[in-house]
Amino acid sequence: MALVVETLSKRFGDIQALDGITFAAQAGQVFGFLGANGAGKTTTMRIVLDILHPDSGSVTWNDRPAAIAPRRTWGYLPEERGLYPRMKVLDQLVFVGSLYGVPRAEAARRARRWLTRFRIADYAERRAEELSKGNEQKIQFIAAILHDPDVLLMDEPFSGLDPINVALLKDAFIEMRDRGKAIVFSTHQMEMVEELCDAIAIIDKGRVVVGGSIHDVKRQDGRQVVRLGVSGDQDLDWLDSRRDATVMRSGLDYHEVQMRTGVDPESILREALARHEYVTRFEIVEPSIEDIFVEHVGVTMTDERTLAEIGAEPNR
Amino acid sequence: MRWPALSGTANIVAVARREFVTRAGTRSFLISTIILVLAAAAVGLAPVVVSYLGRDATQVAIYVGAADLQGDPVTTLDALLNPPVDPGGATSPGPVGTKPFQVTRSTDLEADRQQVLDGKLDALLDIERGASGELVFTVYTSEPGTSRTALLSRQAATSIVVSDRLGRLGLTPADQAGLFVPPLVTIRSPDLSKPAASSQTATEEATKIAVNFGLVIFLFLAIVLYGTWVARSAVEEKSSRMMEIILAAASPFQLLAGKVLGVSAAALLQYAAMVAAVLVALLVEHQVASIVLGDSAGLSLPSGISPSLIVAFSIFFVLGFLLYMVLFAAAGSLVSRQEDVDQIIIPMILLATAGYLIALYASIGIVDPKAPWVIVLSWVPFLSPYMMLSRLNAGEAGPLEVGFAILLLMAAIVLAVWVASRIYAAGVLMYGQKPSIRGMWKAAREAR
Repeated sequence: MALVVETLSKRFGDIQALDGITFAAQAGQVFGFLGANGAGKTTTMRIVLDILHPDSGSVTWNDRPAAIAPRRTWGYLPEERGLYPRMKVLDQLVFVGSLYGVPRAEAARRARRWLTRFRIADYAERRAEELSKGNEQKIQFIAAILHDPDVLLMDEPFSGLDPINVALLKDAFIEMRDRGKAIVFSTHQMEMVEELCDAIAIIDKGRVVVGGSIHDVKRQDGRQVVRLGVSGDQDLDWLDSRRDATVMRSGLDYHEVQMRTGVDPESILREALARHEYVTRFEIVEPSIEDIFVEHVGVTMTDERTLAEIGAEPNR
Repeated sequence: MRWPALSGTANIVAVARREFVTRAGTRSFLISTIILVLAAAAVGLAPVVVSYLGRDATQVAIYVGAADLQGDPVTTLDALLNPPVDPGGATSPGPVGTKPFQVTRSTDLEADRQQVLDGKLDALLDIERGASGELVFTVYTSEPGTSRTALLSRQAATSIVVSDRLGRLGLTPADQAGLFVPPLVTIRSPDLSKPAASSQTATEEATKIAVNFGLVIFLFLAIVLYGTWVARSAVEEKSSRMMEIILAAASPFQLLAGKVLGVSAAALLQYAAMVAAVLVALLVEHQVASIVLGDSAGLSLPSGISPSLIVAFSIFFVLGFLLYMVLFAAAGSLVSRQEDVDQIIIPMILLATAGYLIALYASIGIVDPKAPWVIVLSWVPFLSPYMMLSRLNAGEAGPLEVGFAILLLMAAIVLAVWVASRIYAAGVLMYGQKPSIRGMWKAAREAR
C-alpha cells in the first residue's frame, strides 16, 4: 500500500513548477514534504488530488491510477484554509462529510466526537467567523479526516498553532498512522520532521533534491558531524588549522565539528586526546534534517548563521 | 465501514442542499418572497385593477355663451362621445356609470375653468357667438391638443355648428337628434379568419399589456436577482478559500450543477408561491371586482392570465432561468473577490435587459411585434423566454414556433453547461488573475 508519485512535471506559463518529482509514501507511515515557499509542494498535492493535471508523469495509489481511486480515499487540508464564514461549524463538517459520501447523521456524530477530542465541543453551533484562527484550523483538520481517508495530504498543518494544539494534532497524526493511513504533510518546522516523519522528500525548484527514509537521507548525506567536548583550555585552534574539519557551532559544553567526506572521525579524537587534558565528550552524530535542508536548498551556512543570531530563533 | 457508492449525483445533491438551505433560510428571502407574492397577486388581479383605474368617466362640461344657440349641445355631444357598443341598438342608454364620457352643462365659465385646472373636469367646451354670426368654440383642457378628448371636442364642435346652422334654417331639435347618431363602423383585420381587432375593447388591450408587463418584469427580476446570487455564491467559495476543499471531493461540474440547482430550487419555491398567488387571485377575481367596482352583476371582466399562458410562462421561465444561472455561475467563478462580481456579470445583465426591453416594446407596440427581426430574435435562446412570452400573449406565435424556441433553448442550456463547467474548472483555481478572454480560453483548454 503506497502512494507513488512518478516524474511529475507541470508548467505554468514560463514557470516550470514541477520538474520530474518522484517519491513514494507508504501506508502506516508519515511522509514529510519539505521545500521552500514556491518549491512545488502545493502543486504536487493538487495533482495527486486530481485538481490539477500534470503535463507528464503519474500518480498511483496501490498500483492503480490515483484519479480513479474513490474520492473518499483522500483527505486534504489545503494551505489556504477555508470555511464558509456564516455557516455553523457542525453544518460545515456535515457538508464536507456528505461530499465524501458520509451519511449526514454519521457525519454529525463523528464531527462531535472530534470536536470533543480537540476540546472545542462548545463551538459546534457557532459560526465559523466567530472562531479564532487556531480553532478554525482544528475544524479544517476535522473536515479533512471526517470521512476516514486512506491517504492524508496536509499542507502546513501545524503552522500557527500553539504548543497545546500542536500536541493534540500530533496525537491525531500518530493515531492515524498507527491505523495504517498514509500521511503526507508539508512543513517548515524541522523539529516536526525529526519527530514524526518516517520518510521525507526535500524539493527545490520542482525537483526532489533529497528523498527516502530519514535514516537513508541522513546516511546518504555523506557529511559527518562530531560533537567534541574538552576540559581545561577551550581553545580549538588546532581544529581550525586542520583542512578536513570545520567548527560549525561552539557551545558551552561542546563544539560541533563537521568533517569532510572520507575523514576518519577517530583522527579528531586522537588529536584531541593529545592536545587536551580530558575529552569530556566525543560523539559521532547524524546531521540534522535542518542542516541537510539548508545545504540542499541552497541557503549558505553563513547566511543561515547570521540570520539565526540576529533573529534569536524566531521561527522555532 | 462501507459507504454507499459515490456517484456524481450525491455530490450535486449535497452542494444543492447546502446552497438551498443557506439561501432559503435567510430573512431577506422571506421578505422578498412576501413582496413577490403581493406583486403576483396584483398581476393576477390586473383586469380588476385596470377596470378600477378606468372606472371614472371623462368629465366634459359645456358652457353656452351664445344665448340663441339652436338645439341641445349636451345631447349632441353625449351622443357623439358615447357611440353605441351594441351593434343591435341605435343608442346605448345603459347605466350612467358605464359611459366613457360624462357630459354636463356648465353655468359658470370661470368656476369650471378652475375645475379643469384642478383636474376635477377633463375638459370645458365654451360656445360663444362670434361677430360674423357663426359659433366660436374654445376647449379648455390640460390634456395635449392631440388627446382623444380634444380631438372629439373638435369633432363635436363641427356637429354643434351644423346643428346650429340647421336650427337657424328651421329644423327642429327633435328631428336633428336622429341626424347626429353616429353610424356603426366595424374595423376588421384584412385576414377574415382572424378575429376583428375591434372585438378587443380598450380595457382588454390594457389588461393584456399589464399582464405581459408583469410576467416579463418578473422574469427579468428573477434572472438579475438570482443571477447575482449564483455569481456571489461562486465567488464565496473562492474568497473563503473553501474551493480547494470542495474540489478535492467534487468535480467542478458537480459544484456548478449543485450551485445552479440549489439556487434555482430557492427561486422556484418563490415562483411556486407566486403562481399560487396568481391562481388564488384568478379564483377570487369576481368577488374582488364586485367589492372594488361596486355592483358588477353582468359585468364581464376582460381576460387576463389564462391557464395556457401560465404553462407556457412556466416552461420559458424555468428554461430561461436555468440558462442564465449557468452563465452567471461561470462568470462568478472567474473572479476571486465579492467586489469584482458586479463587473463580471455585466454582460449577462445587458443580455437580459435587451430581451426585456425588446419584449416590453413589442408588447406595447413601440416595436412592431410582427417585424421579421423581432420574430427571429424571439427564437434566440437568451431572448426567447421574454419575447416568445410577449408574442404568445399578443396571440402572434403559433405552437410550432413556440416548440421550436423551446427546443433551441434546451440545446442552448446543454451547450452552456458544457462551456460553463469548463470555465468553472478553469476559473475556480485562478486566484487574483485578471479575467481576460485569452486567459479564460487557455484555462478552459487546460481544464479537464
